[in-house]
Amino acid sequence: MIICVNRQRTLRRWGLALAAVLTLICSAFLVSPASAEAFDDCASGRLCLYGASGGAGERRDFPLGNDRETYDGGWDDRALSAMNNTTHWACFYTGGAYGGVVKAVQPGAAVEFPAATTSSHKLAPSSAHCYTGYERCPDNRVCTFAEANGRGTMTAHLPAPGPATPNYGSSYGTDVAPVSVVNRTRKHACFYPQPGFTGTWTNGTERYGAYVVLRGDSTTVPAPFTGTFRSHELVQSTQECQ
Amino acid sequence: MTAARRRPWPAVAAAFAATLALTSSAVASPATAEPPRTFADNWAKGPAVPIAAGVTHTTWTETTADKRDAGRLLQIVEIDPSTAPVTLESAFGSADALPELVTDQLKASAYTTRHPHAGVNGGLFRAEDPNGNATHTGVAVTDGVLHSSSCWGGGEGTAGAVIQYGVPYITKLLTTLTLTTGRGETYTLDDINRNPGRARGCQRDAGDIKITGSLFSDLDEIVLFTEDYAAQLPKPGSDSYKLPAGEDDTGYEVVIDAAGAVVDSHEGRGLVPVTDPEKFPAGHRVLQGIGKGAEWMRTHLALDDRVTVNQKLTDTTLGRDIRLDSSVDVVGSFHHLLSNGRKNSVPHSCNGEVLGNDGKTMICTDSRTAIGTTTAGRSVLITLTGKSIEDGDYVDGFATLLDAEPLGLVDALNLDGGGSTTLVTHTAGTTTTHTPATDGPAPNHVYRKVADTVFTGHGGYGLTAR
Repeated sequence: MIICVNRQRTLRRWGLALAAVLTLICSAFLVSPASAEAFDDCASGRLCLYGASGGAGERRDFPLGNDRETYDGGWDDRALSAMNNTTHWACFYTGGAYGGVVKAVQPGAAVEFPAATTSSHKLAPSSAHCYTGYERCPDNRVCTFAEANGRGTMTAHLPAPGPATPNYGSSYGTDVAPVSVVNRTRKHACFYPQPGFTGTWTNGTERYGAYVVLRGDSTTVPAPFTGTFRSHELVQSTQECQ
Repeated sequence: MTAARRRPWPAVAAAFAATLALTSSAVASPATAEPPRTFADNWAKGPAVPIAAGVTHTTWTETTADKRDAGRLLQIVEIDPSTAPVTLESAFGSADALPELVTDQLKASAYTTRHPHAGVNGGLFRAEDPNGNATHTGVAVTDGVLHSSSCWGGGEGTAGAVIQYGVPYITKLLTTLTLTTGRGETYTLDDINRNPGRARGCQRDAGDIKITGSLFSDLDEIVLFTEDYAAQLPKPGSDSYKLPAGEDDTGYEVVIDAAGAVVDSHEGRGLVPVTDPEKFPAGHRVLQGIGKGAEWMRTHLALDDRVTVNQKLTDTTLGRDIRLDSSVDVVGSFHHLLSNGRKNSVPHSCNGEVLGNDGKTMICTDSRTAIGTTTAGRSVLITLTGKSIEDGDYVDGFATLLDAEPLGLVDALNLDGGGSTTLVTHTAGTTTTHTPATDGPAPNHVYRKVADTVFTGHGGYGLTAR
């Protein structure tokens, strides 16, 4: 929005014809052509979604700490503009649970959406945080995600010690096919392709019995492992991986 | 909404919009005079050389040397954790107390088969004592373990990069350290892993008194030593950065185990064999006190007492606490070069100022290192050096350079520079240092040993089947 407000000041001097062309370009590339006044009803400290472009239409306000992995009340795929009147970056996603395509909007800026495709949002301390979702994982849990870089639907696994594994294990069968994982426990995580903490992967001549994510680490899972995890356990040493 | 309902926005539109949104100054003002030479006029971009999946190394070469004898090199390692199993982390090598080469720290951070892909030198540090020990200047954290308190910065702390989830978050950081006994008595800890009595590099709290330059003193301190300090602890009388005569207190020393129980306490300092794993098991820590700090320890800490070390790390920019767990690393510095896509006001400072080859203009030859992020949410490690000699820029000149639109940077933090600036990559089994050795007297320059390193490594790995 800041850009186009400035642009339009310049355009008035350059003539209406050129203004029309550039305004068209601006709107095509999502940058707000609206004046600052259009979003003045968005209170300080709030992220405001609008049902129409230019800060018009019905408004929905979200304070800091009220991130939404889904929208209630029919706001899924509804916002056509938004004002970020917070100290944080606003991260908009075309998918639920911070999945899909990302749009990062800096503090104090407005944004126009070319189509109503926003399905989730969060407020983040930096623009780079818009591109990761690992921060959702609670302390002392292994979390798996449906999309890369901790984005998309997250599953926080509660360890369940049992006869199948001497270690803290979680078996999730075919319910989850993680594309990325984070290990926020104090142990290392060994992932397996079978629900019973077994199985192997083959990649060329290499044969792997576990995929390891060390404590504290997060990662997008590469081929041939991506989307194949069916169980994991927590170990003090990776020599304990089954 | 499920993943199946995702509808991608046009990628090119998003990229263009992001570029516009982050370069407002560039598009806001129509040209009215001969335009000054731009970054694109002066710097030629080399290919993005793949180092590993998700990691590239790009070299920009200065084509117009201007007042220099030769153009400089701006090197950028770009890390994309959304496409490959790559991390961003920090490391200190084999002992937090001892500075080591970047190459050695990278080697020590993982098994040979998982050598990090690339790394640069990390936060600011100072030499500590005749043993060759070093101390961090500002917050330093590795795997959630705090190795240094923040600089005071008037109660707001100083700049640092919180590295978590593959992303550096640059902000002002302030630490609060307290020791609490099982009876509820508390004492404020002054620092971690440095000689009690005087702080080099910056004031650690309001009680530190300036002695000279960046040397501060507080004669009533308790300092914590972590188990990975792993070097001879400071002894009375060994301080090469002089305290006032006669004021290097013999002090008091306490050892606490992993559970917080006091397992040893005695007069004097430097008596605990911290490098002997049999006598100093995993999880043990040492408290050294001098002056009133020593007196508090004598009167409050006895064998088998329980103590808790409370460590709080606060992001004072956004007023929130950052939990210290194994996913958190921090490197500290002073100068936040870029934030939210804009150049910050940083000083026109330089240690290696010389006369340029026009015979009139001063230039700065301090090499520079930075960490940052791009408009696409990727992390970058950056160095600015000469091709074979030390060269660089003033701090504000470096910020201006990094603000260039073609680089697409959003945030950047200046790290330790000068002779510390080092960039190392490792690909196909070969380690390459891309920056010149510039430390020590000419012509026998060497690479400088530094306190910590920022690197991109392996987020996960396949374990060969048995």
